[in-house]
Amino acid sequence: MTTDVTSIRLPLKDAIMLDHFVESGEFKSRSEFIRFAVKKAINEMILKEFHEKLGEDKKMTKKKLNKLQKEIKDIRKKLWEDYAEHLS
Amino acid sequence: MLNIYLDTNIYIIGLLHPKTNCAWILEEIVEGEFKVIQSDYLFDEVLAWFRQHKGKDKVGGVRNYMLSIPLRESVHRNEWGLFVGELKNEVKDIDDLPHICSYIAGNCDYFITTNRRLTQEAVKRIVNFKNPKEFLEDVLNKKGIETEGGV
Repeated sequence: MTTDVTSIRLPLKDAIMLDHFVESGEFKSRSEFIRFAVKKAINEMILKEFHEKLGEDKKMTKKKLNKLQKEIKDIRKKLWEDYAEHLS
Repeated sequence: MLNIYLDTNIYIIGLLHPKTNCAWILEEIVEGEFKVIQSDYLFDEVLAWFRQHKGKDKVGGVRNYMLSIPLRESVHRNEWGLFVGELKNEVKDIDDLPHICSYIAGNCDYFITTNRRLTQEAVKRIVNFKNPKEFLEDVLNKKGIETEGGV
């Protein structure tokens, strides 16, 4: 994994709590904790952005669900043809 | 820790419909309580759907979303492909097979899908299917949202 080093300044209280999770074995190191926290924040922000910009309030009806399944199926059929070539 | 496989429909519905059980599951996996197993086939399928139905400019965001899941593991076709021969008679449509094989290759505990047809096939013998509502209620002990087909 290629990494980039970033120094961060934490309030003492947060640093102590972070160490608590490391000492209790939840995370191997401070770095591992921070990597997890950053990934979690990125994931949450992207999901929130999707819901705000593209989210539909309308109910997912049976008709819509069937239409979606058919759209996925069409893509899946085509995709399988491509993959099958490489698998054989 | 439980390993779960989310079918293509869960990502699509979960990203586009915030008031569904699919979206709730996407919010739950952020907590890192489960390892999410993904495959190259799954990525291609989800991204192809967004490209076709929401435009090319949305594809990057979806890819970033799928890659940013805190605990995830990718299963490549070299791994899931090993099970194709053995499992090909377990499903009616051969194009569903890569997802089933990825579930097996990823040592998954649950396969979450809104595809009811798939859950009724012979493969249910070896795959622990749950619809999103069932997963929230049976596994997470949460009261799922009443929706069509548990989506």
